[in-house]
Amino acid sequence: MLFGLDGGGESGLRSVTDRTEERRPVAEVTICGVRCNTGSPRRLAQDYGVRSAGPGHVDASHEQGLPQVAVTVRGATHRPKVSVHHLSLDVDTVHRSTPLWTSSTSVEEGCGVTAEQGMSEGRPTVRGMTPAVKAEGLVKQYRGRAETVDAVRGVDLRVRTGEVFGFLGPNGAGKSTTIRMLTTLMSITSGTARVAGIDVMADPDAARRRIGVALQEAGLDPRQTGRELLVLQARLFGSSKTEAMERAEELLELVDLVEAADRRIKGYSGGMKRRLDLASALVHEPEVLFLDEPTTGLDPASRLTVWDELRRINARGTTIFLTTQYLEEADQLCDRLAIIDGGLIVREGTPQQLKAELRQRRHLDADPTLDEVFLDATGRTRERLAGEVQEVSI
Amino acid sequence: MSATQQAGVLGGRALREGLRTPEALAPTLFIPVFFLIVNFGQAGKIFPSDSTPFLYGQTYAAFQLPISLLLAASFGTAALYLVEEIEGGYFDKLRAAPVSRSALVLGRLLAEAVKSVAITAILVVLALPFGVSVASGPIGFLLLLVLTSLWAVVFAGFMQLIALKTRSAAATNSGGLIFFPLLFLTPNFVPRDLLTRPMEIAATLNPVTYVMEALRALILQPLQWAPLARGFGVVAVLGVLMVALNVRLIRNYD
Repeated sequence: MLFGLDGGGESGLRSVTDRTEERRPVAEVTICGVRCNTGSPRRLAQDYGVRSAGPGHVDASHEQGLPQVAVTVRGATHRPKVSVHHLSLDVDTVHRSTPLWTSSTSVEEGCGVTAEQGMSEGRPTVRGMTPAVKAEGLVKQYRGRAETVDAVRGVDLRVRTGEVFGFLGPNGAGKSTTIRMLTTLMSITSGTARVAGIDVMADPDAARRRIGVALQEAGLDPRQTGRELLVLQARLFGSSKTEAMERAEELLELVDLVEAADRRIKGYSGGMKRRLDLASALVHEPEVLFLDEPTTGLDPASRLTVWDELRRINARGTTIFLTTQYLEEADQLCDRLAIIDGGLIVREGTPQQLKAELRQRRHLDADPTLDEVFLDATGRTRERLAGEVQEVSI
Repeated sequence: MSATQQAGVLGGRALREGLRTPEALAPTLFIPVFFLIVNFGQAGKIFPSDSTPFLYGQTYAAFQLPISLLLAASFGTAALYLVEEIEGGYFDKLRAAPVSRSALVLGRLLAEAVKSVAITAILVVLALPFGVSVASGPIGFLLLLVLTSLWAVVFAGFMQLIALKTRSAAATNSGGLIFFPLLFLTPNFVPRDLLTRPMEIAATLNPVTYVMEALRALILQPLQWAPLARGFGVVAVLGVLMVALNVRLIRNYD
C-alpha cells in the first residue's frame, strides 16, 4: 500500500492520497528516512489494521518544483478509506536528514518550521521554531457510572507560531474537550500537550501565563462592568492597579467598548459580550489564544466584527487556535485546519489543500466547498448531520 | 501577586457582587429576625428574666439571638453565585488564569466573612429593643462578630463543596437545608443540661452546639473563656477542613 504526501503549494506537505492498492507483509512507516512520531504509527495501527510500525521504505521526489513524498505502509490488512493526514515528523531530524527540504519552498506540516523566501542565492532556508501548540497522543476518558467514554482518542496536533489554526468537528467530536485539555482546564488521561513550549500538565501556571482563553460561553461576570472585569483579569495576571487600569483602557479601545465600559455586563448585547470576552483573554498579551466557537450565536454583523478583531489580534503576532461550527468562518480565518471526529483527527491541512485533495480524489471538475470536505472527512451525509447530536457529558 | 493578594482581589469582586444584588440579602436579614420574634413571642413568658437562671437577668430574646445569628451566617450566597459562575463560564475564565487555587476558594469565603460581620452587627442592633445587650462588653461584641463570621466561612465552605461537586443550583440550595436539623439538634430552647438524655447526647455530638454556646456566653455573661475556646476551636477545625476540601476539589476539577 502506497500513500503519496502531496506538497501543496505555499505550506508544504499536507494531504495524503491513496495511490495504489499494493499489499505488503510488514508494517513499517517512515518518511524521508525519518521514523514517524509514536502517535502516528499507533493511529495507523488502529485505523488500518497495521500491526506495528518501524523503519521502512520511502520514496521522495520533486514534481513541478514542489516536494512529493511517497510513504510506504506495509502490512495493512485492508485498504484505508481516508487519507493518512496525521503522519508527522520530528522537525530536527527532518531538517538534518532531508536535503530535499532545503531547496523547497515548502514548510513541513505542523513541525514548527517556516520557510523564508528571498534568502541568499534566492533559495529558501528553513529555521526551527517551537510550535505554539504540540500535542501527542492526547487522550481523554470520562468514567461514568455505567461505562467509560472515550471523548478524545489520541490526538496529535502541531500548530505553528503565528498562525490561525482551525479545529473543526461535529457535535461531540472532541473539540471542546481537546481545547480544555490544552488550556489546563481539564486533566489529560494520557498523552502530552505543550503550549508555547510549556508542558500544560507539568507546569499549568506557566502555561496559563502564556495563553488566553475564551470558551463557548462568554465567560463573564454579569454584575461587573466591562472595565471592572478587565481590570480584575489584568490584576490576576500580576498587573498593578495602575497598569491594570491602563491595560483595560487599551483593550476597551481595541474591541470598541469604551462607551459601554462602565455599564454592567448583563446589559451588553451578545456581540459586545463576545468582544469583551476576547479582550479579557488578551489582558496579559498571550502568545496563544484559544477560542472555542467564538462566534456561535452572533448575528452576521457581530460575527464579521469578531473576525476583524481576530485578524487584528493575529496580525500582532498572537497564534490563534479556534474551534468553530461555521465552515465559512474557518475558510475565511484559518491558515490551517484539522477536522476531528469521534475523538480522532481525520483531516489536516490548509483549506485549499483539503479542497484540492478531495477534488483530486473524487475527480471533481471544481474545488469542493469546505462543507463537502467536512462531510467527506466525517463520513456524514447532510441528512445524518442534521439529525445527529453526540454530546459527551462531563 | 501573592495568593493572599489574589484572594483579596477576588474577595473585593465578590463583595461588589453582593452589594449589587441587595435583594439577595433581604431573606438573610428577614428570616433570622422572624425566628427571633416568633421564638421570643412564644416562649418569652415561660422563661421570665427575673426567675430563669440561665438568662442571667436578660430576656429570652438574648438566649435566642445566637440562633438568629447562626441562621443568618448560614444563609450565605457564595455557593449559589459560584454555581452561576460555573454555569456561565466565568469560573473557567478564573481557572484559566494563573491564580492560586486557594485564592479561588478564599476570595469568596473572605467576602462571606465581611458580609457576615455587617449582618451580625445589624441583627444585634435589631435585637436591642427586645431587651438584649451584649454582657461581655465591646471586646465580647467584637468576638461575637468574629465567631459568627467564622461560622459563615465554615458553612459557605460546606455549601461551596456541594456547588463544586454537583455544579447544580438546585442541589446546592437543597444542601443548605442540612443546617436546620443541625440547628435543632442543639440546646436552642434551653441549656444542654435541661435537655432530655437523647437530645443532650445529640447536642453534645453536634459541633453547632459549641458555636451556639460560645455566642450565648458572649451575650449573656461577662467573658467566659472555656465556652469561647470550644466555639473558636470548632470553627477553626471545620474551617481548615472546608478550605482544604474546597482546594482539593478545585485542583481536581475537570
